[in-house]
Amino acid sequence: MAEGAQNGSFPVDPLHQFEIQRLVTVNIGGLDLSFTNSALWMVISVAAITGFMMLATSGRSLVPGRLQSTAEILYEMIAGMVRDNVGNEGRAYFPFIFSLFLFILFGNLLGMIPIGFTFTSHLVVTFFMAMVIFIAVTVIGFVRHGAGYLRLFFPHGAPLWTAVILVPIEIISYLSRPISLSMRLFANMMAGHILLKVFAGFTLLMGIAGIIPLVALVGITALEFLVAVLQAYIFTILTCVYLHDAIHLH
Amino acid sequence: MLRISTIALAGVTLAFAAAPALAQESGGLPQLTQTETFASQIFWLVITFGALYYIMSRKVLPRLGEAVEGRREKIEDDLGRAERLRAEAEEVMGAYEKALSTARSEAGEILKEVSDEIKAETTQRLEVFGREQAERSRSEEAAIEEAMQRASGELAAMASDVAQSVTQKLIEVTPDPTAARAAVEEVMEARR
Repeated sequence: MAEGAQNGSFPVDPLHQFEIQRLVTVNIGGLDLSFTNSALWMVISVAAITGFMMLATSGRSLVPGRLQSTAEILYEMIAGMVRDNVGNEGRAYFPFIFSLFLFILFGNLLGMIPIGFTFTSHLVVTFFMAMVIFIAVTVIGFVRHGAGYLRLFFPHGAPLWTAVILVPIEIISYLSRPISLSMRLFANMMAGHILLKVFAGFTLLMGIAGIIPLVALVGITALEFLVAVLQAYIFTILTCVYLHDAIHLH
Repeated sequence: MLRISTIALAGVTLAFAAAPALAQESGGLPQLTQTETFASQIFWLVITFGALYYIMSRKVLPRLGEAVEGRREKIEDDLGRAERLRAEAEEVMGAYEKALSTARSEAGEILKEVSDEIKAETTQRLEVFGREQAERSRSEEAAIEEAMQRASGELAAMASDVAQSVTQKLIEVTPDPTAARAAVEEVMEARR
């Protein structure tokens, strides 16, 4: 940052925060599996979720305290989401959906800590998650319905000749699911963090007038917290919707 | 939601627009340029998420489920028990009311029976008493009648004796007792 200011260019590098840094170099069979800052924050997220959940459920009292209430609200919310969007068959996938929501939520929120790293702002992470969900959903669909799963690509009751148009559209929309799912989360997280850094840079550049971008920065920070929660929710609920399609075919 | 996505889209556009300029220093978006870290990111994602999934599904969710379902069951159980107790209380109340009404009607019946009995006995006793009374008064009357007759007979005899002796004293004539008697009876008859 300091060098940037000396060069008379923009005082902060908004993209620096996304750089992956090796903390412990691990190389297995020629594959670079180093423990990076991204991996560190994944571990921190999992540790935070586990710590919170274990603490919240250690008492298991009939009348819950604050922590237990929070954990139960999360439980009821995700259970309700699975029940409403997938149905009773979704019970088997509830632990996955629950873990997924918390993983993304904590990843997004912990990324808001100034020294933190947002692993959900990396396309490869979100795309891998989306691909796993996409493949799993497709497998579940074919296991449940066999070739009948292909009916998903043709709406029931539509005139037969429309298949020429509808089937390609449905196939394209189906195949673009992992792309839209992963891009939505990645782009939201990245854009928000870039925006924060850009406004922080303006604040540094503008001297006393920097109060204006500083005020905006406060607002954007609040907005980013909203986005962090909202995007975790959207990612999870879309997963539920895809699961519903695989189980019930529309 | 639309506004948020608009802002996000604007942000992304800005980022991508800014990216080439900034890329001069940093060498582009790390997300797209640091391809050598992809394997590591996916590897650690799988490890950490796998651990999270294991902990959630084995430890946390059973505990949470137990707490939530346990409470729901407890509440339903309590509600059920309350409902059962209420039904029981209503049953007892109904039985009590039924017993009360039975007792009331029985009491009424007994009361009616007793009063009927009393009435019957009173009537009977009154009748007997009336009969006895009538009989007694009849016999009394007969006795009085007899006494009166006897008295009047004796009176006649006495009167004829008196008349004989008076006539004897006055005119030295002894009247015929039968005639005297007849005369006395005639007078008595006339006086009556």
